[in-house]
Amino acid sequence: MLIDAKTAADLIKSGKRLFVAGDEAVLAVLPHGDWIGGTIPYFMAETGGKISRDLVYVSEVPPEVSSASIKTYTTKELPNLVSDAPQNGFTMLIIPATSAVHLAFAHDAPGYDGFFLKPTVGWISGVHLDELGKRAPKVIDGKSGSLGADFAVAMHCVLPAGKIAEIGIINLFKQGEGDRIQFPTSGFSAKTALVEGKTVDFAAYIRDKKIDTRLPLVANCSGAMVNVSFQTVGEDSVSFYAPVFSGTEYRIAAPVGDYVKGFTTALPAGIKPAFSCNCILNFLYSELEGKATSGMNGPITFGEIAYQLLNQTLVYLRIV
Amino acid sequence: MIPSKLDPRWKALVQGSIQHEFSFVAAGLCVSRNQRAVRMNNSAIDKSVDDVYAFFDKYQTVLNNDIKAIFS
Repeated sequence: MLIDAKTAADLIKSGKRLFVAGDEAVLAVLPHGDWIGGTIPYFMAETGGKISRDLVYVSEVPPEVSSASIKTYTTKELPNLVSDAPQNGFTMLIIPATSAVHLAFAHDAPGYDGFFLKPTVGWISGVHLDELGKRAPKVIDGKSGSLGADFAVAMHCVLPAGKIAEIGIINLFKQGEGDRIQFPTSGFSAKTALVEGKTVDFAAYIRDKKIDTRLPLVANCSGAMVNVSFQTVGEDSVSFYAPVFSGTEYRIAAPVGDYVKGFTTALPAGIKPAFSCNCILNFLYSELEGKATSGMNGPITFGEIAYQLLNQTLVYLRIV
Repeated sequence: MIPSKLDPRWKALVQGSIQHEFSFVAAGLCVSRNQRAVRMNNSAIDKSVDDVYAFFDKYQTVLNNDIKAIFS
């Protein structure tokens, strides 16, 4: 729910465990307690998409969670994420955009031993787009009050036997019918690509084909459609909001006509998520300010985490 | 009930000779990640089978229909 700082403070003082999203100035003055947070002023509320520097979005930790612990992770500590996570439960993880730990998580985490056995959900914190490059995205450990741009914060949540954390994604983007694209190396940028098996200058390819870079690259991961969003097309290289992985086949997404209508159609029936977040690119490209997305409310983020880093996707958590 | 880890279809799954589309996101990501690992380095096959088997073992009830489709 999107609430003011005083209401959030009262919830914290009442002992509620919370995931919080809001502007840095508000997060910094919330009382210490059982919560973690990240900076962002964009939200999807019951009334529709909203931009606010005064309100915070709080999600209560699901009541099924029997215990929880908060930890912070620098790049050095990040490999411990999986071993720190409970045998049965989930981890809520918030990471500052463009930080070293963001890059490390995106690139390395899927290769951690046992990674997919420990459900991890969360988001990449950001800033108002007017402040890109001027302010750093941050996260906060609500227990200690530690607010920073160079570490991730996690709440490891234990579930009792018989309950599992389901992390779902709603991705309206499907692979289009265009060229099959692979990349010779993994990373957040590419100079060359293999397009239908031929090496090309990827920036030139994007320009020559007049590719609409609001449409992401999409990989079909055994049924899970994973997007990589374009950040910039430079003179001789292309950068992305998530890494491309070598050995993975991508296609430019097919266009989505009406995002809100498509989203409502794609929403599984009867879902009441404990937490959800949606990508800032969906908010912008589909003009979601003032438009509602059927009960999937939460922060609008600079990246989503459903086990691994995702782009242009809605991610949700529910306990089943 | 999942087959024994020695069942050759586990190797076929991580090698990509068995293709299946999962509706459970984590399953798709896990299998796909391990298929990629084996494509990049075939010696990773045993570890990939261990990973995927452990995943299916933990989430058997959620993957009931997928298990029937892959291993029937």
